[in-house]
Amino acid sequence: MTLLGREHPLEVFRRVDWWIVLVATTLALFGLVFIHSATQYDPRFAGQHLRQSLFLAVSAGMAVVLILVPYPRIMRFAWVLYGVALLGLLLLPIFGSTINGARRWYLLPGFAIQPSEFAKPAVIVALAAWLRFRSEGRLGGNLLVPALITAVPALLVMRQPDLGSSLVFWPILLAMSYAAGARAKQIAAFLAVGAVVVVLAGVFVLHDYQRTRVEVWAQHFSWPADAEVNAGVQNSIRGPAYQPWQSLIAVGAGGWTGFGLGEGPQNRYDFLPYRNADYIFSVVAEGQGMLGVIVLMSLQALLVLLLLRLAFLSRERFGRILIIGVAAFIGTQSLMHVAVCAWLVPATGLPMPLISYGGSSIVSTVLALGLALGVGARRQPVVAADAFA
Amino acid sequence: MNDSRRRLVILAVVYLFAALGLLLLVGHTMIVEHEDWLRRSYTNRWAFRDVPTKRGDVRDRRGNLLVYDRPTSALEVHYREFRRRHPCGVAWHGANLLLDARGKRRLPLSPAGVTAAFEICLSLQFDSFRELEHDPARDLRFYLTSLLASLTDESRSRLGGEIRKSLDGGRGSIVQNIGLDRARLREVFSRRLAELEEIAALLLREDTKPPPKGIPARSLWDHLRLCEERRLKKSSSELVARRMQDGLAYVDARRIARSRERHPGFHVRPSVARQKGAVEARWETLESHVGFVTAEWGIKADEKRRAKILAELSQELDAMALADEGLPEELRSSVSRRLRGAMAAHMESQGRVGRGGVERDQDSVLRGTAGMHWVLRGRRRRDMGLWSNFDVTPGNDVYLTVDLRLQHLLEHAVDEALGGREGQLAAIAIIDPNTGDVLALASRPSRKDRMAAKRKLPDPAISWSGTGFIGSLAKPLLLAEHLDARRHGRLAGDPMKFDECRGSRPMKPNPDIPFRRRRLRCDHIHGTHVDDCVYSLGESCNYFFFQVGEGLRWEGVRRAYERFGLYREPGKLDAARKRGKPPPASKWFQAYVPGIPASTYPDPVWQLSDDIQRRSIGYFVEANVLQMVRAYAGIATGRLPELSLVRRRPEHVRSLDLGLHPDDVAIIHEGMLRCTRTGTARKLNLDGVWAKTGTAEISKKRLPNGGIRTTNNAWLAGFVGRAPAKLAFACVVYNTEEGGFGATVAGPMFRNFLRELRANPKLAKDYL
Repeated sequence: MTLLGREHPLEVFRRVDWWIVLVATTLALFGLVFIHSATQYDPRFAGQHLRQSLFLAVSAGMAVVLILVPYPRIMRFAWVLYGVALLGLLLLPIFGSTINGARRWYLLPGFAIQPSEFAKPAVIVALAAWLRFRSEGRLGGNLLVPALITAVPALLVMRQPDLGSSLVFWPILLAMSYAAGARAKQIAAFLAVGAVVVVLAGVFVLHDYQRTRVEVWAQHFSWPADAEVNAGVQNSIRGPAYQPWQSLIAVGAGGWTGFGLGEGPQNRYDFLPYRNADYIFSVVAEGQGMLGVIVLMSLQALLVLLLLRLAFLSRERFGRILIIGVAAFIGTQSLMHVAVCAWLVPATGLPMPLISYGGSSIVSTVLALGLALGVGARRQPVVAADAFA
Repeated sequence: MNDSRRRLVILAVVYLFAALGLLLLVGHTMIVEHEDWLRRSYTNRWAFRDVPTKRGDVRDRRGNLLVYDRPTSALEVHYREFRRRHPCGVAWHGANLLLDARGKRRLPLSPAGVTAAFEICLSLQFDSFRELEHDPARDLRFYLTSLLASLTDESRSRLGGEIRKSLDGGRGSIVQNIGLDRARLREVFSRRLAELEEIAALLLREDTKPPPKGIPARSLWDHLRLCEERRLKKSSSELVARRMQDGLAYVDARRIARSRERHPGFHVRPSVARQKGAVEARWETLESHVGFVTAEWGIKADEKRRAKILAELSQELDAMALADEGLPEELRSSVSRRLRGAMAAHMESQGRVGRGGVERDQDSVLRGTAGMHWVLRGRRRRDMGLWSNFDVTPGNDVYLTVDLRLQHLLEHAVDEALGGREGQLAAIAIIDPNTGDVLALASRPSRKDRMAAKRKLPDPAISWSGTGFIGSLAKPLLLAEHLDARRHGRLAGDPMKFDECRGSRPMKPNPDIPFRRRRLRCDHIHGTHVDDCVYSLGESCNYFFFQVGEGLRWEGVRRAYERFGLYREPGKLDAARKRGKPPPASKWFQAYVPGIPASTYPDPVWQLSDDIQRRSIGYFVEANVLQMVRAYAGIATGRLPELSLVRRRPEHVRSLDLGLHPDDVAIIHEGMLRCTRTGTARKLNLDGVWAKTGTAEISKKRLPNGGIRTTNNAWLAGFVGRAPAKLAFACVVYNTEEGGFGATVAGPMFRNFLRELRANPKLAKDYL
């Protein structure tokens, strides 16, 4: 048995949804432009757009291979992939390197790997593999076991600590479970329990700095227009609220048309931290204004809708659930990134898929898209008939 | 549509709603709240950097440098940085946080206190954190992280992470738990504390510039304690840099600047110091006339002054804010406000103000205007571009009218004449009678005398600015009025009908003339010469001038003084001053001498008394040397000049015609010449000098041995050269206890000066 299957590659590519490729490529190119605009004035980050281009090219090549691999074969390796992802996360405390107080990366010569990014597509594949035969809407099969599958890597990611990435797993789970047949009541109950868990986690699990971030976030809604003159607020702005506050300034100052590409002062004068990754949306908002934001979010939404359309057209459960997982991953992570940049949720580091700088992020996203496109290129039922067809 | 696809549609709709909702919220921030955020964006990166101005030089009339601004360095403390980054600061604050929580007394902010605090931090246990509330525990962790990071090469993030990790389940000492060597930490800390003590020693070193008078010398720890007190009262106060030492030597400044990594919070800033010029001539009296400069520290008058200067600058600052077309309209008022705030802060922290003498009087000329750079700064507070600029304007130089060469001679002459009589109040002024320029002005005790004296001496300014009875110096003024009155048919006595001088025998009583019944006497019997004006003036015959006064009546006597700028209507003056209005004055009166602050230059005193006879010989009228030299310059030239200690443009040099007939002036001159040749000043041998002595009896005391001790004000005033007069002078020795006379006590000061002047051909050519 060959890995690539018996189909002619050109035949596979002919059936690929090129709209998705076009939108994703557009977003990735936008990403390169914005990374360049965010880093051009800072010699520390010089050439990051070129590195990102390299990562993009490598990941595109890997995605092409992934498209050519018949996805049932990937499905067979779902648990292996999941296991590898877990192993990657488990070994982090031993082999990982600590940067900025978090142990999230394996440092290799020339680049670093962030296993939590690869855990996302691995979990999506594993969930799709689990949910493909569970259309009855049972609590255990449709929600609790998938929740367990999700919780293990999510908790490992949270332990790094990387609260933002660990939170991305849950919307993916809910979207996939719901698409697979979980009932709305079950989802609602799960959300209610989740809310209680979040509150308890806030008290017992979160680190002090994370708790402080949540407190400051809650307080900032009541800050008046001249809040900066208040000594207490000043301390917050200079301390725990520094990053989100600077990001909010960048977003708010953008107005309709922004300051121009790379000309946003928060970006240019180095006030915006991690602006090439965790706050890239702020750079867009400040430089291109509301119009740029609308274009970017529309493209993101279009990509998600195109993926959902692909799922809609798919006639096989594993592939459909997988695509929904990928759409949920890209959609929710994008929305969460925007919400973090606009300080609508507590500050947490989360890259914007296809836009933010980061090798692991771009590779995992493109691979996830490659998976979805591979499914889309094979719409006939190849594993089992669609029970709902 | 089957259920699976329906669910897909629902997911798509949920996603779209979420995305749209998010877009609306982001849009609200970007569009509705745009102005607020734009303002924050601008203010975030705007900074105003003040540029200290150079105060103008003070020079003598020939351009010799008397005082100037020398570029130097200043040491400042940024308390917030010290508190959060310096090992001593963080150790002290961390330990006190713990002590506060335990309800114990705080450690003192001193070397011993800081060392004790360090030991507390070093032996900090995990349990200590559990005693604390959330916020203090967080702050203590911060201080501990800062302390360890500042004493080791470890990064803050690593140490912070280690401490955080250890806190979750650690036991015992934190420092040991994270694997740091206590002995090594102690050693590094001791070294830092020792270095800090070295910096502290600089502040108290003798060769560094002492603080201005009235402001106590503070040690570095005093400054830190003050900062802490202010922080506890108002936390934002710690953001303002506090200047601890000005005039830091370059070597010390460089050493501190080099150690800034090890001593966060202590910064060396460029500054300027007021210095004396390197002139060899003696000018100790002039030093007090030049005055001094201090920082504008918390004096109410300075607040008013600052407000006034800011009001003057506000238009220019507004123009700076408005000139930038790229600036959104809504931000301009905010910018103007911040600019003014920055300028006020600059003036408060670095502004200098003249506190006395020329520095004070000519402050507006000398001061200059601080510049303001409106810069764009980055996150690390580094300047990254200039947005706009308000140019610094250096102060203008002030040239005094004083000639340092004459001043040098005068200082010597005074010392020689007074013969080291400690505490003797004496003053002498030399002016150009044609322009009113003060060429030299010396007085005793000088500031130097005062510092060297064993007993407390009077303020140096009293001797030259304070007033005293002028005695017989009034006689030429009275004679001028007498002659003028007779020429113009005003009321005046006829000398042919004057009673003859009976010396120490009192004047004959006359019930028709007020006060005739008093014992009005003369020192010598001048006999029938009483009708000779020249003789009477030269011999200073009191009998003659008693009767001149009687003849002139009140109007005439008042006019005699007023004409020479020595009369000011009493009573109304104080009331007018209280109302804050300019007091009424005649055109002859000069209330203000440029270069001398009006508040330190008193008016002549007109004591209330109806004794017209004695007022005619200079009693009940008080004046100082400058006022008298001006009057005598008027006698010399027939025009009353306007005095000035500061060089003026020729068009600003003014004098008033006294309206005296040249023949009358010639008579007075003849009388004064007689005075120096054969009269009361004959012993001085002043050749070519027209002068008049004056000896005003201040008090008489009967001694236990039966003798009488009189205390006098001894005067000599006059001029050198005639048509044109070259120099006018007035000198006084106050309260001479030996009953000294003008010719014997005051005169030698001028005589010595004139002798030295004539001995110097170059000076003689310039001034004689």
